[in-house]
Amino acid sequence: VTTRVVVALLALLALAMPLVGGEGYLTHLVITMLIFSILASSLNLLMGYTGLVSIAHGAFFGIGAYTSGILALRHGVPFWLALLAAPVAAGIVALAIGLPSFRTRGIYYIIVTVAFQLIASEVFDNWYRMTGGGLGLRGVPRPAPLPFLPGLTFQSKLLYYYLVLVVAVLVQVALVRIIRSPIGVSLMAIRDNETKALMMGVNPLWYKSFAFVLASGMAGLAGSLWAHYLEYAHPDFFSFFVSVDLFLAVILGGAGTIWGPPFGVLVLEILREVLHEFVALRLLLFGLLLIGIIVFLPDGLLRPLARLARRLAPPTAAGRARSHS
Amino acid sequence: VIQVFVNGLVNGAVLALMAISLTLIFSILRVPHFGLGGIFVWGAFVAYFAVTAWKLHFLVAMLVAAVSMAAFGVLIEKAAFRRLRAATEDAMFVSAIGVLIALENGALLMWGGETQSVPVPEALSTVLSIRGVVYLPLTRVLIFVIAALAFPGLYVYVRTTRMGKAMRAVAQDPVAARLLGVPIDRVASHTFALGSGMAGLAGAIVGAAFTFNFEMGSPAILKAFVVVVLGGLGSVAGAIVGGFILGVVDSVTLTYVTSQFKQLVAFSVLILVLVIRPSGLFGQRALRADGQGGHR
Repeated sequence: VTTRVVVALLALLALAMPLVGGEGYLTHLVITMLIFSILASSLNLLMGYTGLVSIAHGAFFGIGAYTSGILALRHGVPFWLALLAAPVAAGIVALAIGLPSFRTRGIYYIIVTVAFQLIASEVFDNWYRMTGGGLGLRGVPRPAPLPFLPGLTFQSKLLYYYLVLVVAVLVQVALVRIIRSPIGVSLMAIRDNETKALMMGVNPLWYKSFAFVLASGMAGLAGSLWAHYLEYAHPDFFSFFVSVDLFLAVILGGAGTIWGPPFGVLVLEILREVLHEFVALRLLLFGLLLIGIIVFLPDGLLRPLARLARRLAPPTAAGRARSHS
Repeated sequence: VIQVFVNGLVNGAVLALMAISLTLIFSILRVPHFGLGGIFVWGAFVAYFAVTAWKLHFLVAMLVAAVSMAAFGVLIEKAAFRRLRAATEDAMFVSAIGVLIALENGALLMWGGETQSVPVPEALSTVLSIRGVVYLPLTRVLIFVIAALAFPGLYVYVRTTRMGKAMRAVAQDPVAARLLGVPIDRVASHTFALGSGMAGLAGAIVGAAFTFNFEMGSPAILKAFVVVVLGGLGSVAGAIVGGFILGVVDSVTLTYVTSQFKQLVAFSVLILVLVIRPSGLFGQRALRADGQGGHR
């Protein structure tokens, strides 16, 4: 019951947020957090449930953003089609890089993803004719109104917020359902012991490819939303450091927990806002956080915090919750 | 042409030093210690302050950098890796990346972001040159001297001392070594001291022969990792050969092939090597870091 109450409160908060935020900075922040929580949650499918630590999520984020942005800007493709093209493009690239890379394990696999991220960054930076290089891709259009609801223009932050909210919720629900399905169980079996999973008749290559393509496609989707929101795309939005940030968000919130990564994004974004004038200090803190979390709280922040909250809650409420669930 | 080749060899010596620090720690303790990139940066800063603020001779300053970074490396092992000894490589990688980010940005925060150079005494700032053929400042010759001293020194240490023997035992089988009474914590401290000292030394000398700033660590450690992969992880001979090869190739492409996509080639090769031949170009046949070619 308590979890349902929390979810209902969160939903109410999400729907009512624009009443407070309006067209201001708060709405911008929340849109940012939602888009990055799509990224963190999909990365979590890889890191937390499949055992594939990837430092290339920023690259797929970028592939989606540039695909969608270029299609809409230069070829006049409607936003809604471009939004679908972005995950497809990211997924195809993911399949091409993923299949050979699964021959490697552990630290070697991580390095393959790092190398891919750096290659992608260089392409974003230097393929002037396509990406605009360091100048960025300017003038990516905001979405046109939906065919049957011409009144809904997405020029305002407010409506764009609801669009992003819908996509983020859909992604989160899809991930939860996959994780709780037999596919999710197979993924976790591979994470825990690949040889054993193979012996049980689970094909690791198939499931790893599935998870990698799906997660990268979701990153591409987030990229499309991001580019059309900012009306701009720049190589720095999809760099190695962004990949490391996402990686930190997942670890911080808790890899292998459903709500941990979005929570990690929330914490990181708050830190970023508080310390926005002190970049070096913030990164120093991020580095120390990484060490501290992995050494002392390998489960991430959310689970221990939830446990603490339950202990601090009034005993009657806690008892009632336990007897009901 | 000779100049390009010599530049490549100088870069190669630095790369080899870094690659050996990395491969030493990885082959003995299974820690992919990317934090060495941060140690590299701090080594340069320590040498800089030793010369400018404490008025030490440059050679002494290098020694200070090496020793202080060795000590710092031991502390880092205790704080960031000791509790993870039973954890996966992935977890240790997370911690190592944390160390790298924290050290680089710590340096930026404390000492600023300017690109500087460690001042060297007159005697070392002379330039060896054969007109029209080679131009080589003495500091860059010094890189060779240090590399030439460090490699056999390390080999002798690992092969002949008691601690070296313990390191080889831990590299082969940590559990068996522990059962036979090898003090793993002390072995880990010594290994980190050795690797970090070497990385700090490399930073100090690069800071003197070239320039340095706080963010030179990440590319350096990544290139060192490329070298280590090319040479085969845990192979010291592979690291040395790989270092010189990458150094020369880098220098040649920089001069003759001014491509925008230079990194693309290097990293594509890295991915290909990892995928096709995960044991590295030199594979298992090369000498291992424990000095054993398979049997004694």
